[in-house]
Amino acid sequence: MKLVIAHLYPAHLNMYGDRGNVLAMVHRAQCRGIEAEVVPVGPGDTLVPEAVDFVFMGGGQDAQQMLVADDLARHKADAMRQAAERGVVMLGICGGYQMLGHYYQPYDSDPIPGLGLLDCTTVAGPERFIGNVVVVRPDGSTLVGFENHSGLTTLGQGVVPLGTVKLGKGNNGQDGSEGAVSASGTLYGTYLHGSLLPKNPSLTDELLGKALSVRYGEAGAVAMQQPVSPALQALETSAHQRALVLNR
Amino acid sequence: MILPDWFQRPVAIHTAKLLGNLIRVTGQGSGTSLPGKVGLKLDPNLLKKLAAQLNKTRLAISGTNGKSTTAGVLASLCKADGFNTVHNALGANMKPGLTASLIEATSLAGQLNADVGIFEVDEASLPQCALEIRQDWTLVTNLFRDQLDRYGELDTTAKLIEQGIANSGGGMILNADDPMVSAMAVHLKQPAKTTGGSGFHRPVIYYGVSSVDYPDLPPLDSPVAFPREVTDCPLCQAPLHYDLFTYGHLGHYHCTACDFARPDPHVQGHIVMAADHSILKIHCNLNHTPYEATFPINMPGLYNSINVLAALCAALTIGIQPAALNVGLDRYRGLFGRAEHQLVDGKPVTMMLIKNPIGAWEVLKVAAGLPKARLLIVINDDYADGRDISWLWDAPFEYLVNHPTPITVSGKRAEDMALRLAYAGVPETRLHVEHDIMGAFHSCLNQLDGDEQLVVLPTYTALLAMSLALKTR
Repeated sequence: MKLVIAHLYPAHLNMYGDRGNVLAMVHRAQCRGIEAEVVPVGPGDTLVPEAVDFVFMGGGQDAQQMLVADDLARHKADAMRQAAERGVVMLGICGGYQMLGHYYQPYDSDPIPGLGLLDCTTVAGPERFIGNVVVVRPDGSTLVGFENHSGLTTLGQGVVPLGTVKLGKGNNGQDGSEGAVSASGTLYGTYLHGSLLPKNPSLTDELLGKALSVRYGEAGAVAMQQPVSPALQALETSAHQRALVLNR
Repeated sequence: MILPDWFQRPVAIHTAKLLGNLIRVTGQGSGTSLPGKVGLKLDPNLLKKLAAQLNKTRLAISGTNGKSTTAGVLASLCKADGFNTVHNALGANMKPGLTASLIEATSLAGQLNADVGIFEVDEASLPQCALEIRQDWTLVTNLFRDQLDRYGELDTTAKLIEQGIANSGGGMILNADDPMVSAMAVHLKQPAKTTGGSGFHRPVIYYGVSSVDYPDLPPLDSPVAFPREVTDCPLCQAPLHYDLFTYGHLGHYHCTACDFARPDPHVQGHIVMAADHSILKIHCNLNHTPYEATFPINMPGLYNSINVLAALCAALTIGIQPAALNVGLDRYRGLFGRAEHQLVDGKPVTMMLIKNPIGAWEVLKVAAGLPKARLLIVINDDYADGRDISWLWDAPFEYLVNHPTPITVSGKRAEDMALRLAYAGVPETRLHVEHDIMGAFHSCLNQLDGDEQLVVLPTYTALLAMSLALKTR
């Protein structure tokens, strides 16, 4: 069994430690005997919708973000749409989240169209939200991370929030929501850096399980039953707990 | 307060000096800026008047990283050549701090006892300070986007420095390896509209690194992508092509569309980064007779060798005798904590600050090459460290995978660090978590065998806490 991860623009969106999310997916897959391959997809490269199981896109600085938005529209919009229709699991963080949405409206120029895969829109805000975040998910579990954004994201009818902020500002500092999950349950967006997945292993498994079930069906779920190494699990859990304790 | 000038200045200096002494005697702070503030209040032109008395050279150093070390080394080189040198040594790098350093060297009669001024100047303060100190040269080290300040305002910073150079009326000493810095010479060749500059020919001197060798570096099991800022041409915005990266986005570049390229440096450095020492060989083409020399660098990390190269280039530019260079470099003591070698209970301890992926990259290369080192990594996430520890995931801790001894992690975010090392491939059995920083420090120290040394990689507040604890024992 093999998981193919498309890491979008790893050289351009690389200043926020989001690489850790890819490492977490790889580790939690490998722990269960699942082979994991990471395919870097840069500007000008094509994405093959049938060949990938999980798509990750991180955040970058403004200049890189513009370049990436342009390249996405030119070279990858169709493939991303087809992949999303296939049920490929996607995670966008910060800038990556914004680009999964309909558009990003900068402060002083025309809106930058996004992929429109997540039903949300983002407008540049006057204030930058910087700080630790604790999110409570609908099932009561927690997510810990760090936000650093000035974009204000408003969710539409076609998505549900990833969770509610217990600490931090979340999507827009107004409605208490953080992140978005598509109605299909396969497309995720969030502002949480940190890195997010290494210290939120339950979310990693959620993404991994959904990604494997698309290509492998029941066999994927069976593979997920394999336990990860207790030592790694303990380190991940204690990093999660530590963040909760520090931000109590 | 309206006082005649002949009276005003002595009063300003007298009061400020008195205040400086008072602050030091009472132990209320180090007295680095406040005397300058008071002096400027009493005489707004104090900085201008005092700086004008520096009759040999006035030199300002700006840029985002390496200002303090470069200024410290350069001041030491000037002193070694016999010049009375004023230097804002304690990092107070805005107008009051500059003024205070001059007051310190001024007699009560208002007579400055110095011929050379080496001023580290904050980028945003440079335009205003340049109008007052009228420096002969401005040295620009680099423009790194601070990992903790991701507002994309590097262009603004570059423009401020360019304005400062324009305001000074003097020349510039530029890092050829940083595209945004070398482009300053191109920008400043055109008459500046906003300043009414005349566009006269300003002298430009470049320094740059020709190559870097790492003779002791163990190879990585798998390649790690270097976290670096993608840099576009500062003149036409087309992508830059690099033949060599030396440090972060510094290197040998040329534009893929226009003529912009790394200029040939007047002073070139070849750097050897061995595990326990580094060597800087320079080749200088400033004068008619080329000059070559080799310097041992007693500070770890490639960035320190580059800072020394910058200081040597500046020293040679302002006419410091080559014979004084080795002496001056020898006398320079590294800035507090940036790379501190010390003995604790008779055992060797090296501390190397880590705060962002690019700096950590170099520190980890050095640490990984040390054969007899026990490692303690201390990660705090207080305000001065930067609250966001995401950068741990961009730094190549993979270099430590084959480190032969256990690694202890400490600090508020010890668990994140432990997890990062585990994901890098360090076996969990070789990882120890101990939250209490001094507890971790001493248990590591006690475990040292024979000729081992303790190498501590702390974030800023962790370094501060350890230094204080060790001082007050």
